Amino acid sequence: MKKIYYLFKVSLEKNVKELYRYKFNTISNLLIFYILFMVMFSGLKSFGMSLGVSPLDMGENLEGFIVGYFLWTIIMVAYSDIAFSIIDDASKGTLEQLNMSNINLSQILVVRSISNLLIETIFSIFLLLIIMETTGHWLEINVLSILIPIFIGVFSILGIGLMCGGLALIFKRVQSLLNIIQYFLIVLVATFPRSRIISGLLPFNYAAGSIFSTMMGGCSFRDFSALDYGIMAGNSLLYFIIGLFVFNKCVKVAKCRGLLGQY
Amino acid sequence: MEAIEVNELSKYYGNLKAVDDISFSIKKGEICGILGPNGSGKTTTIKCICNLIIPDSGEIKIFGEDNKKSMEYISALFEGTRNLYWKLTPRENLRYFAGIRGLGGKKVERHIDELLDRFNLSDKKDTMVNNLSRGMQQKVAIAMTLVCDTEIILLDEPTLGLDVQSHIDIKEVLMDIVSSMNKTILLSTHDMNLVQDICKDVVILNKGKIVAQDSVGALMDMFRSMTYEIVLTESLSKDDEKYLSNLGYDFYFVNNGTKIEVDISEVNEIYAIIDSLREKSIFIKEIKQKDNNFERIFLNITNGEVE
Ligand SMILES: Nc1ncnc2c1ncn2[C@@H]1O[C@H](COP(=O)(O)OP(=O)(O)OP(=O)(O)O)[C@@H](O)[C@H]1O
Ligand SMILES: [Mg+2]
Repeated sequence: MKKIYYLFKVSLEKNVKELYRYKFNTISNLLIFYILFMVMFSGLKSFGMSLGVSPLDMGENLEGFIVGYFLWTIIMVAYSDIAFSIIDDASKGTLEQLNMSNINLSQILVVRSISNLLIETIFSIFLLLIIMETTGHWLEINVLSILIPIFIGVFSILGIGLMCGGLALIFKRVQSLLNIIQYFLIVLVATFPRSRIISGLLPFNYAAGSIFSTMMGGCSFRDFSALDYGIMAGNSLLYFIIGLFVFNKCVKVAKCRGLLGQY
Repeated sequence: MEAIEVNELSKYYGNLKAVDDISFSIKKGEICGILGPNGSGKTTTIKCICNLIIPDSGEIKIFGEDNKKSMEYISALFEGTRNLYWKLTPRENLRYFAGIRGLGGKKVERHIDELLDRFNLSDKKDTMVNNLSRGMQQKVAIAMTLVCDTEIILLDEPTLGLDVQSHIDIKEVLMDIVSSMNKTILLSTHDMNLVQDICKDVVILNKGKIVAQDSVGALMDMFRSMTYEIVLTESLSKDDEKYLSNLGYDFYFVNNGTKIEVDISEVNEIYAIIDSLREKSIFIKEIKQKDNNFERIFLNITNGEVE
């Protein structure tokens, strides 16, 4: 456990340092998101007004929109971070070092992703606060009701991330695959089948559904049943384990072909 | 105690035999060099030991245990210019690579300070690696292999692509490690002088096979006894040359016959040769063993001129 603690600590430190050292990139990213968001925000608002939607409904749509957006960012990081991490380290010549540990490569990469997700979450919340401050439109969002299902569910996406990462180890250029998967993921967080079984089997879908229902139905994380939590956790675990399995197989193939670290 | 044991290791890529049935071992606390021309399998061997490449056959033991379970004993520096995060400082890099192995805390911090001090990097410890000279980067990379205090260190071409000064610096760093840290080191290189100066044993690879394997000293001795150079006071006459040629030794007449070179297999033979010269009243000005440096030995071996 202590090992993982130190691993997490240095991962976070590296993330923060790199954000700081690539200041320009960080700030321009924030600015772009801010501007994009403001445009959509005001667009949505005037669009609603022109349709004669009352400001009250408007608020709800906005909340849904913002939560959707937030979910989207988290998922984007969770599914692609491991693959990008591998590509990045392979090109920097540090991937070999990551393998020189008695902590598994998969664990190192997952811990890295979690640290990345944490930073991304903090950024998003920070951004949201700024947006609400500048628009003067304070949304009623129960942060915990969103974060808890995300936290439980995100491991399914990390599982997918591990699969992509495994492929990146072997094939190096997986950009187009990542792009395609991105579209599947959009569908996963935007459509919710009625059947609990189907929804529970699709990665992250049930968790995303729960988040939206808290948004729309005004309930909170306390209102989910044990079954709800069970489905979310089971789904997450299932995909995570499949991801680990695929990843470890890919590591083996890469080691046999002498591809680890070659770029 | 054997720190590293490589037994009948082979690795093929398709039809290419990158490493072909090699065996060698390194005792704890010793330093061994792997020499070989480009593509001879040095990197493949090192990566097999680190479990970055799974071999087709053969086994590798680290302190008697399978290498897959022995990562905590090994650190390595791989070929190429990187090995570090360029946007982090030396201190952050060392901390990061310790963290990757699940190490951290005060003890590691102190160790990092010590290492940076030792390698004269203290005043650069907060400069991004990006902005360091190539030689300094390599020093940081070597410090990185020491930060976890593993028994075994593998270095793949640690002096490749360095300028003269950095080369000297790195060599000093390596000598310092060898003399005062009691590590077991395996290093691959093209640089004969480095091997001659710091390695005790050497394994010479060519096309994936071991072509020579001995202590550096023994290899040098082996080749030193090969060639003697006999300088004469005056040139040999044609008759004398003929006479000598019929003695059954490998004589080479150089400098218009004022110098004889002879390859012998036993040291005693030199006395017989001197006696023969005395019989013909050929006067000797000087006799010496021809200097053999490692480079020549290496070329001889890898060209297959000498079996
Ligand atoms: N992943 C790989 N796939 C196919 N062939 C490979 C792979 N890695 C190495 N090889 C081949 O295996 C042989 C041995 O390569 P290796 O890198 O071990 O040599 P080396 O002694 O380190 O050479 P250098 O001095 O150039 O570093 C070479 O012919 C190389 O082309
Ligand atoms: Mg090499």
